[in-house]
Amino acid sequence: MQGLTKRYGGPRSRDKVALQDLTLDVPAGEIFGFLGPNGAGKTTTIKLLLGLIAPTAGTGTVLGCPLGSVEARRRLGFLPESPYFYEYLRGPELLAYYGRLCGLGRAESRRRAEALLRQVGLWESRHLHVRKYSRGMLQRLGLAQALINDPDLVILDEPAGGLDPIGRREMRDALLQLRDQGKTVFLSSHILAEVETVCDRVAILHRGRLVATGRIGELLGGTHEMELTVRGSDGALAGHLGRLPGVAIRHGTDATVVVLPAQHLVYQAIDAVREAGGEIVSVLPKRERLEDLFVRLVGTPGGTPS
Amino acid sequence: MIGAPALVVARQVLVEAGRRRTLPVFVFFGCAIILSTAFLSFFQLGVEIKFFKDVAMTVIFLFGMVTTVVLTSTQLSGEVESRTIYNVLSKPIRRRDLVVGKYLGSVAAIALAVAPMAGILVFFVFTDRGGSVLEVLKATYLLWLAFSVLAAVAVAIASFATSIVCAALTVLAFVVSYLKGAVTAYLALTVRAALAVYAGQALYYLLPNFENFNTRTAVVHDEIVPWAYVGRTSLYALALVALFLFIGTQVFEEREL
Repeated sequence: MQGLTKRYGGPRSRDKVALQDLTLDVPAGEIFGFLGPNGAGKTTTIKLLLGLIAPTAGTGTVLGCPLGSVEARRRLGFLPESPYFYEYLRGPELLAYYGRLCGLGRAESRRRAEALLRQVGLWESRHLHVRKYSRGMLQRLGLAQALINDPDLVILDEPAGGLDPIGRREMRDALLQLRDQGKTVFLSSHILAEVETVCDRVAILHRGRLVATGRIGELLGGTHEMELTVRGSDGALAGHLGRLPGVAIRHGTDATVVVLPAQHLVYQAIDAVREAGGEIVSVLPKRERLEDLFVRLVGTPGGTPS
Repeated sequence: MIGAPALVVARQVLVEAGRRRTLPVFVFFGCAIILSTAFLSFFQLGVEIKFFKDVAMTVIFLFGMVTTVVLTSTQLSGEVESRTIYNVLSKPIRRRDLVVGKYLGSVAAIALAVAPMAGILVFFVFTDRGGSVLEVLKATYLLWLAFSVLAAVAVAIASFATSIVCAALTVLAFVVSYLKGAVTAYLALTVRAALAVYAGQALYYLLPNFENFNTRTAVVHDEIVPWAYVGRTSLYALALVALFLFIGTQVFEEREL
C-alpha cells in the first residue's frame, strides 16, 4: 500500500478522512496484526484491499495484483467481522457455492467444503440451515469460506469475535497452522493478547494514520524495570520497600507485585522483603506488553496518547 | 460478456427462493384461487369458461407481479443490507456477474412460480375444450416477459437503493408505465409549460409499455395472437432488459460498499 487515502463526503460537506496516506508492506508468510481503536480506519483499509471501495488517493497491490482486482481476489480469502450468510442454505451448500464462485468445479467444491467443515468442527451440523447456527458456529463457517480457495493471503477481521475461550484457542491454532503452510495472514483484531501471541509484525492505526509498524519484539523493546512477586507480610512490606526510590507496589489477593525502576535495586528489595518476613515468588525483568504500547500510542478512550 | 459465476449466482437465488416461505405461499394462494374459480365454473350454470380464463389470467398477472417485486427487490439490496455481499465480492467475481446472476435467478424463480398457475389454466382449457391451449401458452409467455422486464427495472433500482425503496420505486415505475399514455395525454392537455410536456414524452419513451405484454382479452375471446407479434414483443422485452441491466451493472460497479 502506497499513500492510500480515503475520504468520505461530498464537495459541500466537510470531508471525513477515514484513512490518511497509509504506506504499508505486509511480508509474505507472516501473521500481520492490524490494530487500532474503533474508527481508526482498519475496516476501511480492508475494504480498499478487497476493492469494495475505491481509494481517494494512493495505490497498492495485493499479491502483486492491483487492489480489488479479480486476479487478487482469486488468491485471497476474507473473513468479515460478524459474518453473515444465506440463511436458507446448509453449511456444505454454502461452502460449495463459494467454491464455485472461486472457479472450482462442482466435485472439487464439494470435496473442499467437506474437508473444511470437518476442519472447523461443523461437519456434524451439515444438515442444519445456516440460520440455526450459533454465533460461534457462524464465525467458524466464516473461516471455512475464507479458506475454500486455498488462498495465499487470508484477511481476517476480528476472527475471535463471538468465540468462547476454546473457540479462540482453536482459532489461534488455525492461524498458526496457516502460517506453517506458508500463507500470509492479515489479522485485524482488538484482542491484543491474541495478537501478541500469534503475530510476527503489527501495524497500529489511529484516526486514519499509521502510528507504528514493525516486528513486535522491536516495537515493545525492553525496559530497565524489574518486577518482584512477593507473598506474605503485606503491611510490613510496604514500610520496608517504601524506602527504595521510585518503587511501585500493587497488592493482589494472593501476592504483591513490586516494580523497581532499575536493576541495581533488586538486591536491596530482596533484603527488604526478607526483613519484612516475606517470601519471594519470582524476580523478572519487566517487559512492555502490546497493550501498554497500544495505550501509549493511541491513548485513553478519548483518544489522547499518554 | 457474462461469465460462469453469473450462472452460479442464479442457481443460488433459485435454491434460496424455493426454500423461503414467501414464494411457495404466493404460488399456493394463486393456484388455490384459480382452482376454486375452475370448480365454480364447473358446478354453476351460466359461469362460462371465458370467466374462468379471465380470472386465471388476472391472478397470474397479479401474483406474478407481486412475486417479481418482492423477489427481485430483496435480491441485490438484501445482499448489501444483510452484509452477505462482503463474502461474495471477496471471491473472484465481477460485480456485473453478480447483478446479472441475481437477475437470471429471479427470472427463473418467477417462471417456476407462474408455471403451476399456468398449468392449471392450460389443463382446464384443454379438458373443457375452452379454446386454444397454444394461445394460453403464448399469453402466459408474454406475461412472463413483462415480469422479466419489471425484474430488470427492479435490479436497476436495487443497484443504488435499499430493499424497501426498491420495492416502492418498482411498483411506482410499473404503475406509471401502465398509465403513461393517460399521463402524457393529460400533461399535453393541461400543462402549458413545454418542458413538462417534453418530460412527459421522455417518460413515455423511457418507461416500458407493459400493455404490449397483455393479451388477456385475446385469450378470453379466443382470438389469435400472431407469432409476428410475439416475436416483436420478445425483441422489445430483450432490448428493455438489456437496457435496464446495463444501467444496473454500471451503477453497481461504482457503488461503494
